Amino acid sequence: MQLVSSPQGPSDAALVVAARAGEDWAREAMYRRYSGLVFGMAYRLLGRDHEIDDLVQECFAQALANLHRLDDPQALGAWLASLVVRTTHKMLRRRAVATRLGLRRPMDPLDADRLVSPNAPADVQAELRAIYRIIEALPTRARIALVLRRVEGMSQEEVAQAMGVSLSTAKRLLADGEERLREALRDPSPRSTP
Amino acid sequence: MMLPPARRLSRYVEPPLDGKRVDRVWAGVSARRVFAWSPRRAVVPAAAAAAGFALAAVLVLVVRGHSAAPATPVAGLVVESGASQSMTLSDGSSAVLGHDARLRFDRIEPSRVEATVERGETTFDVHHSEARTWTVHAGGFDVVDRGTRFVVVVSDAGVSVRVESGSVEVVRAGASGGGRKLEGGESWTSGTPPVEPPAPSTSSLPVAPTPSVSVSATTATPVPTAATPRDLLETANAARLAGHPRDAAQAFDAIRTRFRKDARAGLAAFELGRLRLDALGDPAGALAAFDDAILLAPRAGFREDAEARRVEALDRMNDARCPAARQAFLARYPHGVHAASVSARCP
Repeated sequence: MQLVSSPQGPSDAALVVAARAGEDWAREAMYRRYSGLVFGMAYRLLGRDHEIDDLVQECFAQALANLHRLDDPQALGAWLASLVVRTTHKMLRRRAVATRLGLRRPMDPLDADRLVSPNAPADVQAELRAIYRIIEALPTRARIALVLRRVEGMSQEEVAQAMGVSLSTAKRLLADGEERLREALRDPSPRSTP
Repeated sequence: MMLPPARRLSRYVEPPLDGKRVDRVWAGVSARRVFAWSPRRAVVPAAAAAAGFALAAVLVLVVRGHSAAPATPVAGLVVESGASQSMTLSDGSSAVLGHDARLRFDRIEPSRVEATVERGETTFDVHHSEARTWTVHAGGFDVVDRGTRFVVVVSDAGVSVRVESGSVEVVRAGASGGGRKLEGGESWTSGTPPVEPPAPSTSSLPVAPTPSVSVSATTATPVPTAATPRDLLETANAARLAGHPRDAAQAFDAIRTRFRKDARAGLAAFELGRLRLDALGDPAGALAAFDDAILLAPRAGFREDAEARRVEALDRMNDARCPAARQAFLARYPHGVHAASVSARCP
């Protein structure tokens, strides 16, 4: 017996209203409707499978605790996406600080073979492999901006909104990341990995 | 060099995701219960209430296999959970089963609902109605609801009842009155005679959530001995998210060792194993934790994950048992989400 999403089920707004009113089934239905989106974004932003369960759990716990802050219940998906971005940002920043302070061992390089589907066209494979080769060396915000733009396919405005930064900041972050991506695509050898 | 135009490539970078994994993470979210309960009965606007009733009507579209609005009396409906399950009746009353719980609805009628908690933890959220009574049977006791949210646990240690809001009356099975009335925040265990006046809780069940404790960045922080499973779970999750895996591991370890009969013990053991394997470089400790997780929760949704991670731990230890564990895993889950990664272990 499981809750499953149904295209004919309640709208996002109705789910939010019911969840705010304390309905457990609505919370679970919301989770199941958006778990694919959240798992997917977390995976693409982090690039490591074994860390995303914690991240997804945290995102939904935060979401359910803060549903009252959602101004437009119909915008649940976009709101959850921005939560994933913020939570990932926090996690990556903490990890970077801990690594710099010697409190955490450096992570192994991302494994593009596992990340990128073998069914992707050759040009897509090349771009995705280049992205995941460079992102560990990018500043956290530039990394997130690059993945949102080049993997999630968001517009610059959507990147800015998801990250909670101005459009000009988003453009600057993207420029940093895309310059590194250009270099990586020019020289696809592993040597280009800093 | 010009970059190709940005386009959506996300479908080529998808995590391995199956229902069990989704269930397991939901079990973790549910177990945290950090989200505040809104004062539904007091201040929900009429529109929201109307939406709630409307949603109850369409619930049948969302709930597979549930009897959402039984028009005719129902008897003997058994709900059994893996990681976590919920069931909502047409009046909005709900029962959420914890990990590995089993609940039987003996009777669902317009005038009364009777259910039996056969094992594990079930949280009831009952919409009060003068026209309908709710009675939950549990190990020789009846919990008579007065319109409330309460938790019933049946375990080897006996029966526990914890009231989160509203009130219930606990009576011996079949008795018509003279039981103990419990108000919100009170709890009771069957070790205490039900006819005595209410006493402060002596149960090891979780009580109201407390704020997460801060954790040290360098060394594991001692876990308070009086902490409840819920406190410990919050501590563990906060520490893990803050990048302090050692503190998180300690809290998870405390749950599984101190509260072995708690519904969260198995999940805690599994999370402990993951931390030991992924963050603490301790595959031997991880192996012990995964074994414990399987022992504590043999039918949990994360069993397959635990067994896959167990093979990974053996592989990391270069343990001679690894090939046999790999073969056993592949025999049991030949088409599982971890089959490919496990088959590459211990070459």
